Amino acid sequence: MAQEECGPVGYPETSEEQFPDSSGIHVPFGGAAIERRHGEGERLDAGSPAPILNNMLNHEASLDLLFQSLADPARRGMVERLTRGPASVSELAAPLAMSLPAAMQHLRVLEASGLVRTEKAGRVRTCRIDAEALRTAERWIAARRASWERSLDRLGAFLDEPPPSSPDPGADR
Amino acid sequence: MSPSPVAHETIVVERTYPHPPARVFAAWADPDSKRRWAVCHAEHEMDFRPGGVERARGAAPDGPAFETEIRYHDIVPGRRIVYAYALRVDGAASAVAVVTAEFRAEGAGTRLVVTEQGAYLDGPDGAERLGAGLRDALERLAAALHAPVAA
Repeated sequence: MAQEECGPVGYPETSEEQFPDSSGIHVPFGGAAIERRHGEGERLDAGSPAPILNNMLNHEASLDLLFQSLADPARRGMVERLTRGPASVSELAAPLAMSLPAAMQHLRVLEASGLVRTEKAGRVRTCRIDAEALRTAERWIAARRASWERSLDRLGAFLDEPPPSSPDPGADR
Repeated sequence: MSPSPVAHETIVVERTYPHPPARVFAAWADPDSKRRWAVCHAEHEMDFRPGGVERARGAAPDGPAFETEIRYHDIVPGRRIVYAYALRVDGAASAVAVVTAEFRAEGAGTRLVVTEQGAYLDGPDGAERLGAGLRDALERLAAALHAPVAA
């Protein structure tokens, strides 16, 4: 049996490991949320879903807003820039050759989706990534769940192995 | 400086196995068996009894160093295990939890229910790791939407 992703970590750094249940589109808000949206059935465990996923699944309107916010290339560019650290509105607008009002319009969409938070100090409005589901602590939760899923899969494979000492009547010797 | 944020969560994971509870329980209780499914790339020592401690230390390829410590508190043979669990990654506490494993007979098989109730911590590099993961996710999203990320 392949020992591909061992260990208790399922470390949040690697996209594949973050959301192994998602089906191709790895969006930071979780594969479970996307699949629920497309009606592909419940991907969560038979036990009650973790409250944070439950919270997201109960707010499909906000998921739509999130997807809408990320569907625009200028907004994706802004979010990508903000992953490197906070920035002012003008810093975000400059590489996009965009007017400040246009940039603010995009930022309002991003703020409404919960992905970005802005605050004004004096004359400068500073923007930063701030969505609870993206916080490292929440991503640890997803990683821990993924780690359990893999461990219990390996447990199943281990249990299904024939005991080494008993002869296999079907084996050719 | 404020401490790194913590999130509290209950994770429940379940499986049904076509094996009796005693067999499934044995895979949790026996060190050689446990090593086969719960531990890899790691040194491992285990003392399976109430008050006993189990430790593992290792690193996945291209991954961070980790240590886990389990202290067993409640063991009902064939039925239930409750333990305290701590995970340290690159030396910093990442997850501290109480884990309950219940082994319920279901027909000829076993319904295993694992409940992890924990405190999950941001690491010191939380923001950078977050950024790297999100950048990667954005690139994938852009590819899926067949559109480039601007600038």
